[in-house]
Amino acid sequence: MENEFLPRRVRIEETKMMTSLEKWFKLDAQLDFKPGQFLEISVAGAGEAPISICSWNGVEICVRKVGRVSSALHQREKGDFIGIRGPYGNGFPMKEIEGEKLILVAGGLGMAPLRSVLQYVLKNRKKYGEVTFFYGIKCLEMMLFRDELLKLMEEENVNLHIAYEIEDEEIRNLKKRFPERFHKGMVTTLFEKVKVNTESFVVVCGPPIMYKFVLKKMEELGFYKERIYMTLERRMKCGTGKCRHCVVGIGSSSKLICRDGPVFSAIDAELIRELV
Amino acid sequence: MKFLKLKKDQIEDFFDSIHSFGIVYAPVKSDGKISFRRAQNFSDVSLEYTRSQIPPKHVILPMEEPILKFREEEYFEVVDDENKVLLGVHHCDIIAFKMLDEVYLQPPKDIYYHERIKRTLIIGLSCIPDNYCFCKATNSFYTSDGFDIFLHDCGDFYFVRVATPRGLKVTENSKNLFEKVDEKDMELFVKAEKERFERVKGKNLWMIGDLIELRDENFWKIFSERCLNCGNCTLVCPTCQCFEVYDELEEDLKSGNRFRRWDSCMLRAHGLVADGHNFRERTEERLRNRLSCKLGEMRCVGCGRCTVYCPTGIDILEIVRALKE
Repeated sequence: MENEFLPRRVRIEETKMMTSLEKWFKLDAQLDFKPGQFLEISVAGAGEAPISICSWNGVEICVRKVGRVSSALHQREKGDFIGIRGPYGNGFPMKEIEGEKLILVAGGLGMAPLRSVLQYVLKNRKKYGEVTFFYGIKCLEMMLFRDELLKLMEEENVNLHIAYEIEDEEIRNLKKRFPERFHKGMVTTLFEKVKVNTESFVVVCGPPIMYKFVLKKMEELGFYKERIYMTLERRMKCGTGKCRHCVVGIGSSSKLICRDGPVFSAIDAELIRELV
Repeated sequence: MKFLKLKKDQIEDFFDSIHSFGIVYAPVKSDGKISFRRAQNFSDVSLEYTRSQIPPKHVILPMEEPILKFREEEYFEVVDDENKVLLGVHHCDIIAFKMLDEVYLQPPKDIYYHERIKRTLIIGLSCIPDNYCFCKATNSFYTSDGFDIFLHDCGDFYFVRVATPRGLKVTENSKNLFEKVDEKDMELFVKAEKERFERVKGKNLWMIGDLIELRDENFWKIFSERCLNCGNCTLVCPTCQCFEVYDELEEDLKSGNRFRRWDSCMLRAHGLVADGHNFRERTEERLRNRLSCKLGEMRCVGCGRCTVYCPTGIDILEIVRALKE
């Protein structure tokens, strides 16, 4: 019988420090997955942690050093091995969004799962309408996938806008290079600065506090709740709906993020108490 | 179902006979508390008991167990293939196993749980209810499945129900111990069950799930102010399923074991995520989540353990009463 807890050994093909806190890993793995799904990443001796896949072309993860597993993972380099289980979770409804306009809203490390959506959309660009990407960062040093995102700004495929909190010389230079693309403020300010179509589908990922603000802003603007999708974070220990660390909601409406999510709609947020 | 009769003076012989089917775990009294332990001699076993402190769950789902061995990044599974006999399990605890089955055997199956439960012969036993029992309200007063054999105490004999081929094999193995049941035995069986029924207080849990959701923070504070966040209520719960996974290294710092152990939603770390955010930071949030899991999702068998073993006397039925007021 297949043991769901048994990790598969995979080799790290490439690594790169994205910021002082986040490290990117390309894994030598063949995997059938959907944007928005996550893996249980295993580092023998340190344990396991749920981590979103941040790519569509191959299997990549972007990990912030915050705990035991992620710290151990950060010590791994090209050629080293780690264990993976999964993919787990439902992922974003990419088929449903086909033919429609799409807005991606990422805050901080929320960039990671949405990069998987972005790469998927770019790979299937003709299937989607206008694509807008809103990315909120604290400062330029904390911006993930900087080079590839700046390159995207030069192209027509995606309408990319960045909200930042701390301005420095480099941002001022980028503002000159890409006029109207960098805005001071929270990610929600981009909805005021950039014209958006309220019939668009929206996919959101960011720190827990961000969802409340983003949902409120989109409600004000009149977006359809059933077109807003967000991916949520919990401490999923098993990924299989058994350890119950990721339970949300009350009574019969309660859900397990690992099994029923991690992607939920704004409609779910209405029906499931304390989902966001 | 096959019905048989086992005279009480034959129970010791029956106990001796079941050892050939596996390691026997039975209710054993020590320090005044009943717990399910390996029992070799019948003299160690206490078949007349109200509730074990720790439910028999740990025989199938140990408090702590190695699930994998690893050497660098190579992982090997560790699976318990011991045949077991779990003797003396009450209705509520059997129904609790059925609830755990729903979780652990739902795809993808948990092989550790599955391997143990399928290798375990379950012999049920009628209980002696007390005032803390509310199994009528949770519909777990009586079970018709989830066991191989069930022994109903009818005074000087056990009325025996045999539910599975495996159970039948056990009774046929000791054919001489069992007798056919007649009308009189059946009447005594019904009488004993009726008496047991009368001893459990009637309770009503309708609309509890909605009330748990409707009540605000201030409601939960009345109870959470008394809560020590010790996790006893979840430790003694036969349906609690939460577990934690962690690694331990050997001295070579290369090989080691991956363990899992019971976790408790009443402990602060349960809702914690990597960046320090906690989805259930406050005691009242954790208490409400536990009540939601147990009574909102009906994952409760009314055994009363959480009330009995709460060090500050938080009574689950007192919360139910208050919810309805």
